[in-house]
Amino acid sequence: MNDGTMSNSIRVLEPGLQTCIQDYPGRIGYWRVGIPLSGPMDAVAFKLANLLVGNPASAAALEVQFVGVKLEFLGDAVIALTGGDWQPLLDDEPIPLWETVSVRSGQILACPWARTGARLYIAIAGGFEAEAILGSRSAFPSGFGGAGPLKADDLLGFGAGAAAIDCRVKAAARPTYPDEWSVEVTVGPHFDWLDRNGQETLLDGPWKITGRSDRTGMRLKGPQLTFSSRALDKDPQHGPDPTNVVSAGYPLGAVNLCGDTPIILPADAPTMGGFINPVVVVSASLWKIGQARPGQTLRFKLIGIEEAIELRRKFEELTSQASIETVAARSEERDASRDGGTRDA
Amino acid sequence: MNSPKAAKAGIADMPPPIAEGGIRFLLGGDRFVLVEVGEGMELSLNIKVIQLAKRIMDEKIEGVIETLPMFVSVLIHYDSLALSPTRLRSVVEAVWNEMAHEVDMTLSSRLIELPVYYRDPLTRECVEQYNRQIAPMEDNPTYVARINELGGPEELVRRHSSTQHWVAGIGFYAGTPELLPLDPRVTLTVPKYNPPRLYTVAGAIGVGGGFTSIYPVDSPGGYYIIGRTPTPIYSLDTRLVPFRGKATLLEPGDRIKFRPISPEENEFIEAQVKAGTYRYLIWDYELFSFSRYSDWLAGLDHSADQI
Repeated sequence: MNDGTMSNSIRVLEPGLQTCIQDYPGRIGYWRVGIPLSGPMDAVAFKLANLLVGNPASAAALEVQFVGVKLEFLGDAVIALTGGDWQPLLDDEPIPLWETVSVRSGQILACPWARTGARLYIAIAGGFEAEAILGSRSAFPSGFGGAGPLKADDLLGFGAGAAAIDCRVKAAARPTYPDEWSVEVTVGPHFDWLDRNGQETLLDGPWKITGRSDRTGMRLKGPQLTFSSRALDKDPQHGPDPTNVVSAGYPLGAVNLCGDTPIILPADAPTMGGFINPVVVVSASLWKIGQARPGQTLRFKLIGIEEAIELRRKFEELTSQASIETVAARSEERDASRDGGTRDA
Repeated sequence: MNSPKAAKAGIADMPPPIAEGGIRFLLGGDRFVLVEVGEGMELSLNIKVIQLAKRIMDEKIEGVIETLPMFVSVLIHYDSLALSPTRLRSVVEAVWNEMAHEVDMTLSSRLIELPVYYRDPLTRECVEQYNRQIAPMEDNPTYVARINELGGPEELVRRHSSTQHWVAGIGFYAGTPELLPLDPRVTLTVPKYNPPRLYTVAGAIGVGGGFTSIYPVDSPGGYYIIGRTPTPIYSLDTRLVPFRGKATLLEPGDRIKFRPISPEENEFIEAQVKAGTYRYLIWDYELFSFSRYSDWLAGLDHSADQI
């Protein structure tokens, strides 16, 4: 997004579908004036990509959605790709995800499309350069101004490369991307606005993810919900629909009931509104909303707050250096066990 | 019948209604709680909510990230690994109880003047576009005046600009305020567009329900639109003083005075905004006393010809 020539830059040949720069955790401190957090839709893959290339987990990286990008490197770089099955190519040669990859100046990275998962992250040693707005390099949601999604011919600068050690994410730490998702939730502010049957139905679904899903909301289609007297016999100030309530702040990850349509509220969602939030996706499971695809199904699993906090603790552990191993260490182990066999790394 | 899933997660059947002066503490995942202080939409409760949101931040409690006051609730964003929900609850209750013992409630409340070109051509064009493309739609100021039994759009403008408006909360979209008139005699009751408008020009002044709002950016919308302010309420242009280190003009608890302007002044202000030289009129030293406001309310003459 800079112009002129830079030794450390990347030219965008194909921009993909709303590919944008994000950092972690995003833009904090402006919820009360209507500015959402933003940041990566899948914080697990995002943080691990940064850690692989020796960046802080918070550094600016690229989020690619569904349809991939083609990038030309105008300088040497160390990158890491994380996400589902994207079958990325570097100068037409397949390269792995979840590992560091060295790129030479002039090489072209192509990430055609997601066979599994929805979002791919591309981290680069030194991090992407982007103007920080209100303390964050995350792209502003569309319509808010600022640097939006990538366009063809954009030049993306990146910082001076850090460590070039070959690393990979440990096998046990790599998430899987199923066709049917079980998403952990706690009760939200308005769980009791559904009757018993409505509560069970909301949790069990199954909910089909519709195509009208993006960084501002994931819209679901499924069974009819039923409401309690709290929704049906309320003060008229709340509004005419059972799902209307006097406007209040929306938690990130809330399952927002807007008439018959549940909408999960992810990174760029509205900060408040006049519809009820019966359950809320726990923070450690929000990455699933970033990787679930339209046409797939999901169900909610109700857990208690203590368990949700415990999952958060595990999420922090999973998205730390503890999940990264150097390739050399693994090769040496293998060499030892093979009693001096050839190294293939 | 008891829901086994709900029982397993430790969910009580039904929270009791909020007792007079009490609060309700509602979970929203592991990073948010919603604190409700009442059921209705009373201004007195909103003032307490804004105060509560601010004081929780002023306490500088480790683990509290931010608060969002809106009408009768405060959403708290916190880090549950640094601050347990139980501890957060006791902190919130302590702040609330402290507030309950105060005789008067005085809070700092900026007064901001916003020039408004009422019945302007840009919002009229939005309405006409809707009329052509979606459904029949009357001139909005004329309609709003009629259903509120006012003499006409001129009286609507006079009433709408006669009162200060209270910022009861901000959100949905960047910087979008929900405004209540501090003079209840000029409250408008207005339905919403059905179906909504696909396009509203940035700066449009909308009325819906009993509220006024301002559209920060070009966007769809459902409020009837009666005019437009040429001064941005959301901007990334740091030449304009309010947008240095902040992208939004308004804060919860601010007061807005709409000042009707002529087409010529509108043009003049638009040019200043474009050049980055416009100076907002903000009186940021003002205080708002809730007890004195209540006294004023009690003494109001409600006969129609007083406005």
